[in-house]
Amino acid sequence: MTSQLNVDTIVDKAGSGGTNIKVANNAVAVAEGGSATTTVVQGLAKAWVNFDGDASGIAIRDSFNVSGNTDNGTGDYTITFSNAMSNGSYSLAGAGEAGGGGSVMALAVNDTGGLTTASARIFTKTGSPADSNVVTSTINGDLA
Amino acid sequence: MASILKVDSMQGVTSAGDITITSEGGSATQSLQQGVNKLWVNFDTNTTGTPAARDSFNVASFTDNGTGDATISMTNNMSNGNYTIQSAVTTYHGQTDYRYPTFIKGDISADSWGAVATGSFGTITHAVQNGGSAYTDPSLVMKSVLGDLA
Repeated sequence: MTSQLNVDTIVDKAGSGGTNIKVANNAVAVAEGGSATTTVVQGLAKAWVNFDGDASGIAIRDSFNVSGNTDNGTGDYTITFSNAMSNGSYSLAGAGEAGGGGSVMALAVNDTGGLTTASARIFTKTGSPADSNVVTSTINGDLA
Repeated sequence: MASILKVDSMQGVTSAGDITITSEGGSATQSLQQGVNKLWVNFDTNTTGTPAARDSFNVASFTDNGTGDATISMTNNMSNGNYTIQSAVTTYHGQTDYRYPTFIKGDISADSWGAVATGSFGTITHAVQNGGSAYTDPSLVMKSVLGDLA
């Protein structure tokens, strides 16, 4: 029999917050409009990070599911995950700061080998790779 | 002992589409539904014919409108066309003088969101080089959507 739980707030049994709540990976939630449902786990971001790519060695300002960043060179960074993804076909989105002189600071990924289960290698470019003071990136996909 | 909540479907009591969760810091709450991505996709536009998804969520199909120009259609529609779209695109290894920004398809001259609809949105990818740009079909484009499902 299909079960349905009607609640307004979910907290852990100690009442200290939501950090201990576990939701099954096939759970669905009713959408904002009420006429569709969406898979909660599929829709959750699996990693995000805000870092300074212009700092020596890269400085992470804040992150989720990121164990560290590697500075591979100018405008060239590797984000390493704490918990790995299940495959390398996840979706990465993000932004760098606005480039000067009318240039375009695009966030890019290598077309071969840029995305692995354990890490994502990204670039910020204004033509040639260039360090960005602000790099933000979000990972959506399936955790292992 | 830690408890595990096992359910197939969740909905709010006051409003079916609004479940409140406590924030990581414990001092705020937020809507679960509002914070969940409604679509994400990793796809290849550099194929013969229609672009192909490597992996996706809530993507029904692609339409190839020409070089660098594709439409992504959703399985479950959004409630309006005011959602947010995030993007990243590949770079070709070794082509250091190029960048490949990917955009939301619209009409700047008409100040129009013409290609953003409740069930689909358009995407344009440029190959930009100093002095000019042109549409291109890269092998890796990634998109995600946040907003209100219908």
